[in-house]
Amino acid sequence: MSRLNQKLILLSSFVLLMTICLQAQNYKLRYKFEKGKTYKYELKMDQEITQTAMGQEMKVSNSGSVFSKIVAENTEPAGNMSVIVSIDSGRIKSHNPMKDTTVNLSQYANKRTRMVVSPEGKLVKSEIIDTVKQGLETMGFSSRSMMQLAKLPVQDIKNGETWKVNDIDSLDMMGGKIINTMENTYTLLGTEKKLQHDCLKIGFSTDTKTNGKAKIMGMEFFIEGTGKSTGTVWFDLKAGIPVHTESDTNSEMTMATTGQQNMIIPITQSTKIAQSLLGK
Amino acid sequence: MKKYFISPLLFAALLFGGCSSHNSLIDKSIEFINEESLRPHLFYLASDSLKGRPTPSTELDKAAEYIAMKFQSAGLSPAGGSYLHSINFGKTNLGEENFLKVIKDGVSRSFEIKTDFTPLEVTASREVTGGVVFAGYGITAPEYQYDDYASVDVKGKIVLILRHEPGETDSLSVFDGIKLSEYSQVNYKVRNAIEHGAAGIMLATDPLNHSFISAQGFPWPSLSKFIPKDALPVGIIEDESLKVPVIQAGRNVINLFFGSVDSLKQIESEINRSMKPNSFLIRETEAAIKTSTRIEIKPASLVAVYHEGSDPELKNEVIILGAHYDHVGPKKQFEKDEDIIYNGADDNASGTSALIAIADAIGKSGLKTKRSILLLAFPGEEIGLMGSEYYTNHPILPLEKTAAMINIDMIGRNAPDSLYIIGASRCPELGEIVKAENGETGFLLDYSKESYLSRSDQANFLKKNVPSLFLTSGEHSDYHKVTDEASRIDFDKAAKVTRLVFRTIIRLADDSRKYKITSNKVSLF
Repeated sequence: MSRLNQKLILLSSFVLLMTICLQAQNYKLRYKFEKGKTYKYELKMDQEITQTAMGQEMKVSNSGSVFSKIVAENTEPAGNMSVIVSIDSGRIKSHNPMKDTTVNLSQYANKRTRMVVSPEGKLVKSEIIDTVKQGLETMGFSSRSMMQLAKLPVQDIKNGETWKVNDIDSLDMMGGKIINTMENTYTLLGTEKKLQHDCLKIGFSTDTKTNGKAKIMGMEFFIEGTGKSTGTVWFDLKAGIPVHTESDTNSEMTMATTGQQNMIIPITQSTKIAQSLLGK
Repeated sequence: MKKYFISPLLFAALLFGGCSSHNSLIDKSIEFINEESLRPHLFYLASDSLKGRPTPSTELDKAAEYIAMKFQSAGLSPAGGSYLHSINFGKTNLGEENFLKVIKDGVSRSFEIKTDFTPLEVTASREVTGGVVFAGYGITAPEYQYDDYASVDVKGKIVLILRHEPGETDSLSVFDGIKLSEYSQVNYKVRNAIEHGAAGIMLATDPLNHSFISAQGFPWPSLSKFIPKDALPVGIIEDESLKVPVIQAGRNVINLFFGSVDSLKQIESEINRSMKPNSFLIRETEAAIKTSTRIEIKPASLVAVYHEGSDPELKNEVIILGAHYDHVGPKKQFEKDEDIIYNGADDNASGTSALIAIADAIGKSGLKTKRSILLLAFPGEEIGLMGSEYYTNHPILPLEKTAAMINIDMIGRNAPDSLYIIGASRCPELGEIVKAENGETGFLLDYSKESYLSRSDQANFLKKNVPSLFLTSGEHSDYHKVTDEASRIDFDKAAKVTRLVFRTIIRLADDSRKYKITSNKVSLF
């Protein structure tokens, strides 16, 4: 091999190496809800729930959309952001064997929850400002659930890299507590334009375990279950906000009651959600 | 030989006289039905001493004995040899030893409980070994020319069947489409498999429409860290000899039998596309299933009384009038000095009292009807229509000879001049009869609650294609509360409803028509 060939090989290797390095850009992903700014979202949902009670299996299908907003209240010196989350409006159509109903969520409009989140999206604190008489939680919708943020990596991340975040979320509900333990795996899939935003595309898979206890109408109520969510988040790196999220969740749960009536009800649930930022 | 000639006028007089006599006997019988004929029964059944009559309980037994005594004093015969028919209620716990082992192509594999398989609550306490047959959805529906068992012999074998039904998401499907029909229910599939001789049953999630492949059968507290044993519900305990091991099989089991879940999905997809079953023996395969249970039994009684018809042919047909006599018992959690008894005066001491009053009216008046009449007081309605479910699976008189069933549940509240009729859309002839007899009582008949068809005991009769109607005054603010007390009953209304029901029953019992159910689809849920 001549020296010229060796130089060409070295040069092309160097160029190739530089290309790889340039493409292997590091991203520092952080939420940056801007103080005083309002972020509006629309969530669309399709859900199917199958439950067996008293020997009979029943299927309930829910679909609808919910409009919510996040008002960035403050940013603390450490970087944690205080936001106020609330629902603006929404409508859920429920198809069940007894009858079809449409639930208008406007009565829950503007019921606020203050949440403090870290720049990585971890929930630091949650405080209900306005209580809801009928308990929005009973419908599976709470202000908090309007803001399920992907957990961003502490370290800088490159395309194709994966990070894992384990999380425990505890929700006080109906005189008891429901605990969700989540094992989240995220992968940075690249960049993509979404809703006129330049976004990072993040794939995720979450394994959830749920258990808890509550009291309803003098009966003790128990819940236990597992679930899996897979989906994608489009994240505007510059603005530090989620632009669009799609997820597909399947779960298997058991609800049990003791007291006036003893029941053990197996439930399977399949939910498809798409949540989009409204406006630029 | 002398010839006898009956003048047409005399004949008409005899005929008219006969009808007139019968009608006047009906009117005379009605006199037994008034507020005072209901009041003592209702006050007793709804008294605190019966502690809300939960199923099963000592207090419910007392209520049953009371009803039986009243039936007897009406002079009517015990049905099936006894006024009281024992039904075994109880709780089923999972026993210690449960396994699933499969030998396929000479290779043996054991599966793990909860991860790979879970027994269902209807399982037998037994071990079974046999070949494995895939039997589609496990449905036999001759009205749709669909039978998953048509081309396979499953006697002595273990069947693997899919949950739900073909065309589950197709609104045009004969199996009701978006709603789940009775054929989709696990109880139906288990019964059908046993009727075809299956020795064991494995259920699998149907992957075409359900991506989450579950191994969850029944969520047994003994397999859970968080579900307490106290949560186990009361159910009917069937004769063990009539049961077989039944398990839900998960992904790993499906993979062993079919290669992959996708492979099963393709088989299911083809069944759905063609609406033709595709059942087959899984070759070179033997499975052994053992499920074990521990059962705590506490019986309760179905109370039954019989009035034999007078027509030589029609007396073999029966009209059933039913009312449940149980309620939900006392509060389990309460504050000091709080009223804790759910008295269930309207729900359904009112209907039960009506049953007793009608028994009196029939028995004490000497009224004869062409068809026979069976009066049934059901236990277990509040825990899932169980008493009537038991009856329709173990009828005292054959269901195919049951011409009609009328159910009364909550008849003493709400507007004094209105009454709901539920089921008339399915059984229009019965609806017409009630409407005609209502000429005497003058209720405003409300047909708007057809969605309540599954809410009381008539549901189980309709499932078995017995023409049935539900009469009720409807829910109210005291429904399932401690304030559902006898003092709040509108006895005048309850008596009027009872008279309407009595007239309807007698009219049905004097009829000879076979009543139709207009819809073949038994989709109550």
